[in-house]
Amino acid sequence: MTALSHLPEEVRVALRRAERLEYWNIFWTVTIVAFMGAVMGQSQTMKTAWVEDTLGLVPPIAFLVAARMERKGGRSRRYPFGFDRVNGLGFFLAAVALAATGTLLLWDSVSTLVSAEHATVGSVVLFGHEIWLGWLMIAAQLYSLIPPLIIGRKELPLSETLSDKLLHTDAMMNKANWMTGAAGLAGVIGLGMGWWWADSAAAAFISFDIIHDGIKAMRSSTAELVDGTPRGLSSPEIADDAKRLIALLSERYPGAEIRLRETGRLIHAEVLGHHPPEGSFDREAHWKGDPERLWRLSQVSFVPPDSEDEEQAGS
Amino acid sequence: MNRWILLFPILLAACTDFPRDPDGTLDRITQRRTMRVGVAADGSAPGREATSRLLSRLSQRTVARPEIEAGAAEPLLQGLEGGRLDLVVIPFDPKTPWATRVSLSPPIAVAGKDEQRTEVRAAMRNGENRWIMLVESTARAVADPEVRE
Repeated sequence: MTALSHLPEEVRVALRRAERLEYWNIFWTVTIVAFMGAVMGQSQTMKTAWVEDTLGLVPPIAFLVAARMERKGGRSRRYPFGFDRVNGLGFFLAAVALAATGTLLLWDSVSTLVSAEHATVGSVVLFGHEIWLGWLMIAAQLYSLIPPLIIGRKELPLSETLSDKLLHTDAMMNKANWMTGAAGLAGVIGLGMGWWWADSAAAAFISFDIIHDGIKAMRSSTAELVDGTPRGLSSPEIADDAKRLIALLSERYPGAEIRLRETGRLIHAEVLGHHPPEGSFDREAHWKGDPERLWRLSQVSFVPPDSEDEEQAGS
Repeated sequence: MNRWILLFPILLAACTDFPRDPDGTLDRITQRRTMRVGVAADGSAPGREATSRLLSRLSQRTVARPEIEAGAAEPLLQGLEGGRLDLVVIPFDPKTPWATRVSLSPPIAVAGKDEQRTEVRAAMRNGENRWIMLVESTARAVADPEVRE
């Protein structure tokens, strides 16, 4: 019995599609890293873009590892709760990689601006012709724009179907990569026009957006790791379905303390200070949102009040 | 995004005289018809013939005469970094730390072997990409046959 066995077919299909997409993501990222590495020369901006594209491999690898463990890893004596939370761990790693990408970009561009560093982009001999290396850099930057633009857009709806913050963070990473590519493109064209500051200024501007996304993702992923109430897919605020669930459980079990936490894509609820309902448990009656998303509610646990508390309440 | 795609051909059309020098080194050389060149003061330094060929060919291409300053390597390279010189042609150790502080052309001559090897290269100020391209191209054309890359 694995974590995936309880999920509806459409979610399992979406997960398989996301895995295929991530394999393509890794393939295209490796080709970009190779192309950029071959033409980066002495350009600091190109080196930074190369490091960022390499960091871009972290979220898809983390996603594939998490999805594999979710699909294959059953419960065992050593791991009695299974591997639902591997996705959360991968989400944290991806969030750190995204924030690191933005910070690296900001640091590099500000230090280049402050030191007034003039990047040298000389010539190379290609098939017997001397050409400006900048043209190859422009080609590499253009190439590096396309895969993350397409893959990131395909990942967003899948991340919503799967309630997968790791996949959503990877979509943000892809956005960061194509935006950095666009800044790099502007930078190389700027260098060609003799504006040594152009690439750094564009990169610094874009880095704020990437850092903002990275910090948001780090806040959400940290909340998940410390058993915080489930957060939204793209926001560190409490998720809408979690709010609705808290309202419903509070109404059904007055006086009880309601606690929610998230393991990967699943929600666990605890009702403290209340006995469980008589008879079999009706899950559907405990879910107020979209019925097709009922799979999100993995577990509702009841912690009855202490006998002393009950006696006091009865007297 | 669509606006960016439309803007791209316009930007490329403006790129016909790419790359340009941020500090206008090549424009200044062609306008003043002089290029300020640093060479090794040591008359026995290797690569003198290749250096002459390089300066002669650069003179033809820029229609500027070289204004020679002979000196020790470090003061010449500092003068290049500070903008006092346009070009320094001297022997370098293959692992020279100056490789990041200035732009080095392909070698035009070599001397010695293994640990004793030195490569005669032209050094330019970082970022003066049009001037750098011209010197690189000329260095490839005039290099001793055994060092042509």
